[in-house]
Amino acid sequence: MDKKNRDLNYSIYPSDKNIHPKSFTPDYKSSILRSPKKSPLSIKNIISDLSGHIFEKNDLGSLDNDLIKNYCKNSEPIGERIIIFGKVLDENSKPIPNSLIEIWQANSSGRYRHNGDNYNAPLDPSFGGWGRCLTDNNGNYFFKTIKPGAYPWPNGGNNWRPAHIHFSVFGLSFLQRLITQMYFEGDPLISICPIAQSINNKNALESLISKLDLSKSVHMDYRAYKFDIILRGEKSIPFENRK
Amino acid sequence: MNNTKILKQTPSQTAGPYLHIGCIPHQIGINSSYSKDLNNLVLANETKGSRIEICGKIYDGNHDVIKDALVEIWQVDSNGHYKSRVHNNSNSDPNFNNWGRTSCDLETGLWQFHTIKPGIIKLTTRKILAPHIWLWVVARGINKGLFTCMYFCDEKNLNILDCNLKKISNSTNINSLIADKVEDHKYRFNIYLQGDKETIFFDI
Ligand SMILES: [Fe+2]
Repeated sequence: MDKKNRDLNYSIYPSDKNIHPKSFTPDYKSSILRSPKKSPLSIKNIISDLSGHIFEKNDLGSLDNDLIKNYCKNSEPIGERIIIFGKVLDENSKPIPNSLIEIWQANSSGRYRHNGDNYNAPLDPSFGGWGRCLTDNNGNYFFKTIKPGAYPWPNGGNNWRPAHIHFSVFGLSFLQRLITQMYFEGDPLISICPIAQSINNKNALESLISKLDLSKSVHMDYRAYKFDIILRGEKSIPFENRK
Repeated sequence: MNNTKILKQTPSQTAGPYLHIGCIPHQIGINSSYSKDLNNLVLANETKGSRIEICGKIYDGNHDVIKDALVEIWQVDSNGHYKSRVHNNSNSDPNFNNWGRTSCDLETGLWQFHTIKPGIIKLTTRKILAPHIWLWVVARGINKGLFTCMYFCDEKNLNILDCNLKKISNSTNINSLIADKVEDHKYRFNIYLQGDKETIFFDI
């Protein structure tokens, strides 16, 4: 078989409907007018399934994954110093190397450095709230940052977001593209947050909650939280089945 | 072949209203510590293919323009090749990145890309995909990124032969996948999240 046909013999597992949130989740008000009414059409992926943009190490700066230092002015940002670490894997437990991860978050008082954020908690002059890195050959990543604060948001009631960090993950294929949010173990706001609860699967939501892991903490400096990210996996289809 | 899955996918969550600071800070004028945004659809003089502009707006169920979305695109080069990581596709254009992204303009909601017209993908000797561009849209209120696919109104003869369009030929609103030509080399692809014109989205 020629090279092109060989590519056709690979595919990727579908997006898992039991895990991802539905598009219409009316407790999260913004979804009401922004959710397609029809289910997405299923088409077997062709060719583009295994390809995605490849990022290079020199696309990134050396402090891009250190949110303590990457916007630091005269003194370091205020807040609880933490390390977020984990692996990017696919469903087959295969580590995904060289995957771009981008994160963004509020500062320790719950305020984003974004013009759209009007919360009256103060900005921290030394904290930007963004970071990015590439996974290493074993799929590992880490960030140093400040634990974000909870913040109130307009959703028709007295709504507070649990502390969270936004994650954008590329994997190796455009079809693995994922944006999600990571929470923190023990936060009582998770169970009453309409965005977290848009995920109607207890185990799936649990997988977004990072766990304290003192083994990776830095003595007298950082404590560590572990968060693994699982992307759609490749499957190989025997050639005979794909005529 | 053993296809047993061991792990469960990480669920998606909305990108929220502040995605710009994480993904494309420079584009909206944030004084970021990043040396550059990673949006990568930069054309060189050597890039092969005819230059086009694609643009559009995204509408919600009230027919209001969504201004806080992020749009990513994925397309082949002018000869119909992606850079593949499975095999060294020496045919692909070294001066073209298949991927790009942009945020909607915060005032007008317009998104736009300067790219090249994608080529035809020859799947087998008889099967083809007409020129098309995949789009992925995330925003506040969108719980999971939406995939749709843009075809070109001036490629009718190829669109008829397209393997993916054939599969969905019975669907309503199939025209939602065809971009209008606004002027020479400029195409408009509006996306409707709800309503009579609801765009076709894909589970791919
Ligand atoms: Fe947030």
